[in-house]
Amino acid sequence: MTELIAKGLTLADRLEDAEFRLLPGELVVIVGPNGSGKSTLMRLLAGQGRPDKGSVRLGGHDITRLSPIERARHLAYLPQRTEVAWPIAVADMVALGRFAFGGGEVARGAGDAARWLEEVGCAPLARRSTATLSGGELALAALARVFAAEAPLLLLDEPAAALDPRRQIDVMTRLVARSRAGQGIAAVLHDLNLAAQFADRIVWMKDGRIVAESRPDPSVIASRAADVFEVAIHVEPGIGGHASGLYIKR
Amino acid sequence: MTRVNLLLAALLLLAATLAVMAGARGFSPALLADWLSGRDPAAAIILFDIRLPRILAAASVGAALGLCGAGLQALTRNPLAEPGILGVSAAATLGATLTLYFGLAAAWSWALPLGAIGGAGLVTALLASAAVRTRGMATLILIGVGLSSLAGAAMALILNFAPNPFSLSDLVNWTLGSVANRSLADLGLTFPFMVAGAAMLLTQRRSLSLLAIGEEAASAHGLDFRRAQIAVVVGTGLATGASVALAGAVGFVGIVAPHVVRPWVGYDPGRTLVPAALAGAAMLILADMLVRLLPTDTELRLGVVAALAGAPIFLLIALRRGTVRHD
Repeated sequence: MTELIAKGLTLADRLEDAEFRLLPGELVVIVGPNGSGKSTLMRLLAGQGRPDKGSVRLGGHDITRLSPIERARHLAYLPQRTEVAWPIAVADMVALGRFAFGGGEVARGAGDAARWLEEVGCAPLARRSTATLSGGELALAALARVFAAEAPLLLLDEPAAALDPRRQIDVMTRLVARSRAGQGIAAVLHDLNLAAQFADRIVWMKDGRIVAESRPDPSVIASRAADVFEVAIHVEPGIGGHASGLYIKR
Repeated sequence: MTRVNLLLAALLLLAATLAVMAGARGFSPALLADWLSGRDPAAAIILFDIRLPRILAAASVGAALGLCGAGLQALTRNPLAEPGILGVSAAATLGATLTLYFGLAAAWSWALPLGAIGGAGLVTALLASAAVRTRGMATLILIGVGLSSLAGAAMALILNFAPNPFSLSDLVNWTLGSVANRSLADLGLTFPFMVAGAAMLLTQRRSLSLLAIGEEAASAHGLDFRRAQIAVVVGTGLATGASVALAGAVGFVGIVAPHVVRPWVGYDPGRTLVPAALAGAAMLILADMLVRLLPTDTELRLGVVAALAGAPIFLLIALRRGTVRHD
């Protein structure tokens, strides 16, 4: 059973004493104001860079000691910024997600790419050059690449930020389905609405600290949002403990 | 992709065949027939002792530079990268001119190639040690630019102190780049270094493809960035150093060859490596053939022709790329 456990993660001025757990089968959403340390947390969780203090353990092993290949087979990470240096085809870009499984897999992956592109609703883009994609399309192609890695754990830094409302809901629905199928997913989101409707668990960050962890309970969300974002919000209660929607009051 | 490689290999063979027939008096297919029938004993000497070493030298230098250019462009994710930017070419040139300046090259024929490889090796070791400690390409490129300028300044110093006009022209001529009068022994000395460098670069083919999505994303998908960086830097150092040792400074092949073949391999940086080497080899064989065919009083230098032909091609590619990108 793969699980990701971070203890006492500290990185100068950016992150302080963060405790975090990601288990298979759950969808955890991390929210917090700009500069609150969400991306730093994600990067350290993904084994990109070393913390000043604390540790990240993936399936019981210190993540900084795992080989990059070994790590990539258990944990896929989507950085916040998508970059593609050359105008390669979308299908080829998605196939790069198979890297950890060997060269043959990358070559085969170009043929299989349609499957993962389909999942993010971008199947028609397979033969297009990545240089001609819009920002949102590129973000979806990058998400398909991370799906292609077929790792048990996913860390996604703002997978929905560049997307239109329809696509945001589609992507979140896919993430829920994947977590129900057994993947452990942690995603940074800026949209409290999506967090309230789809998360199993919400991690609240402020000033480089994890200030709270909560269930997506409407009343809890309202009080936490007031605390962390300093805005007043109204939450519509929905079914199954989730909110059905929320709006921010001026 | 093998189709592109086969096509380029056929093109390379064609270029080499043409070059074998080309001499100071134009094309002479009759020479080949003479050699085949054994009618003219001089034919074998002309073909195998004079033309073939020269063609092989042009091909191996072109291949090494094309491959290094493709590898560095992929590693830095910068279409302008070429073996020159890391300072390896400049250091190799300096090493070679030092042996000329101190008269070592005249005393011992292996001094010059060894000097060039030594200069390249020194800079490569410096870069590799920097690569171990830094993450990211910017620092490495800056170190390369610094080393390049330093080697350039030392070169200027040597030219400044050249004892007489003859040695000055010797030095300058050598820096222009040429494969004239290279023997199979010269080739034998430098070729192993080129092969070793090329092999190191080729082991990183898949890593370089992955690097297209940026360092962090690539590392998240399982790339050992540091290892890839060191392999490409050391491989480039070996192959570039050896090619400078053999032919002096030949520019533009390293930039142009990867750009020419890139559209044929779907812009995949890893799959660009082998075609870029084949294209580089064919380009230098043709450029050297031109050098031999053009009737000039003073010997026209390969480096000059390569730059004269390469620069406009490069501009053309840059302009086309600009229009494709922004529509």
